[in-house]
Amino acid sequence: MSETELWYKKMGFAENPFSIKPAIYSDSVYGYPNVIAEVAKSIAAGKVVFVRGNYGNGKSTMLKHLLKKFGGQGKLAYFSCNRLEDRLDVKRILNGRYGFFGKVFDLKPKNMILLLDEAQHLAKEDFNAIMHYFDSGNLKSVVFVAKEPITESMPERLQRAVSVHNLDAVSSSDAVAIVRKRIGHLGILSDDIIKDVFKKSGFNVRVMLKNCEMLCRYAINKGLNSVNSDLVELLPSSNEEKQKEQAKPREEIRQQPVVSVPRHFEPLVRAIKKQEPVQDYSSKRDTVEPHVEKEIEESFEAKPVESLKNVEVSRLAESSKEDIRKELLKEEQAEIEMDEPIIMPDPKDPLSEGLFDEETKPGLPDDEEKKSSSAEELYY
Amino acid sequence: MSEWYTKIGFDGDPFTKESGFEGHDALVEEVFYAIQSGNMVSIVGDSGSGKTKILQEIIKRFGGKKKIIYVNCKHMQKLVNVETLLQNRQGFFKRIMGKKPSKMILLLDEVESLTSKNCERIKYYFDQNYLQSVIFTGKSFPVEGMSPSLVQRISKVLKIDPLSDYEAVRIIRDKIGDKYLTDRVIKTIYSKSGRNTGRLLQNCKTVMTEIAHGKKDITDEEVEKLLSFEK
Repeated sequence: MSETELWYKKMGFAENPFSIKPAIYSDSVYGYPNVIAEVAKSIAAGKVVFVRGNYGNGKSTMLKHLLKKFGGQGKLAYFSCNRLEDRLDVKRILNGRYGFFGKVFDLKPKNMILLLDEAQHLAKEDFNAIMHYFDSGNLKSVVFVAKEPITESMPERLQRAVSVHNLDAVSSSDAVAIVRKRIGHLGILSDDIIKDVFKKSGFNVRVMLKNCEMLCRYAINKGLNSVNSDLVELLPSSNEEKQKEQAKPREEIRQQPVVSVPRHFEPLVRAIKKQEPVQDYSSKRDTVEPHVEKEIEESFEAKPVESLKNVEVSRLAESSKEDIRKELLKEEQAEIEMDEPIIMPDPKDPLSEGLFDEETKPGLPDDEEKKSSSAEELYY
Repeated sequence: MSEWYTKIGFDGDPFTKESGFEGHDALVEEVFYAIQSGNMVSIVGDSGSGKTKILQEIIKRFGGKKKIIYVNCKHMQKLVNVETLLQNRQGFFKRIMGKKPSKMILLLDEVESLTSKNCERIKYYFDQNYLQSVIFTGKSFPVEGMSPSLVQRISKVLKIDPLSDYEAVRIIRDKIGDKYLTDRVIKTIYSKSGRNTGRLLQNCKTVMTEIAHGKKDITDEEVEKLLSFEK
């Protein structure tokens, strides 16, 4: 397979436009403009912020965006806590600002902004160390980012100071914007198709990017001009969709009679179903033949267990349904908000062009990007 | 006492020597694509199904640019981690300056023994684009140490299908030439070995040892006898 045969080279891209690495496409962030504005505000005001979000919802990409926004003054330090060996060494991060001499003379900058990715790896001692440097004025502001809530493991004083923000799933119009940012207005993926793919991916941006890549690759290799809805249906369904699918057949099973009972035992079974005390069982037992007796026992054993199971299953199904419904509701609300022109300017609209440029700063030239990404801790 | 292979004119054991790569076309193409487009891929297959062979093929294809790191996770001790591995790739001065290589390709063999800590490191380096692509190979997926967010990043799980009869014959012919064993016999041995390449080689070796010790022609029935005796 030669390199010219790659689908994205055929389309005219030098690299895979659907790369899932946050380091590559971080110059613009779509969705949750409120959260980013608030986080930026509290950084400027010198507060401690904790941002929560599910896998692949753009937590790291948001941090990268903050780096770009506040970078350039040497006041930012980004650290991903999953690289920790043991304890978080805040002092080393601070000293690292001055390079080699910082280590030797123990120089510490003032008013640093610390961005901590994957903060669920932090222990209580780490929080105490952060508090210490926060009090001494070396740290001006700290941003924690994690999937699970970590506020419980924080010391009390930090718990009171921290402000929590949630990154919910982005709306589908944002998803379209994300894809458009990467491939431009090419005809291969229409807006409706992108929305469908996003829905299929369980409203997760990373899964959506993976699926888009798969679809585009298939379409280009087959010589198709665009991805149609039939292809989208071939995609592997996400967890939520799977839950939906599993819930349906289980309900059907529940309606069918599970154990077939001989006719003369029907009053017995009815009694069990009503959970009434069975009185005439002992009297009947004497007249029953041995092979039928077995059947009674089976029906006795099988019936209550099955019914219990069914109750659980139906509960599960209901809860999963409710979850999905909630998701959908949220989605719709978010869409309505997004459609307002002030928050989400349209790149095509000439009136909002200035606005758009301000919000999404153009990416750095290639050389500068390379330099910044090859430094060990990222200082800006 | 001379070894069996010297009796039939081989200098060394033909079954341990390096040989050409056969089969797995679709899978290898998929892996090449993943490397070029910068994705993580996991290859799943039983022992002896040719996982390491595929990794060797990738090294052959992409080697020579100082971009490939091959690690067998079994030999990764506690102190050796992905971080030091990446840094040791650099020259002395770059290491002193604390520079990290970019766009490396990491091939991991036997990921069952990969620690969760190293998984997190891989995730970090992948996100920062120090690692262009990561290939996990193991008997199962997902592995214990992998966090769900790493599993989400992996774009595809590729299963190794057994080789076709024709490809199995090609492999054996590549090793011992046309003189011994008929194609039919190799096919029976292959089906007897449960369509597993590693076991096929072993069983062929036992049959060839028998030939070297005096038997001229080996029929299907004799092969069955031999192999059932082995078990």
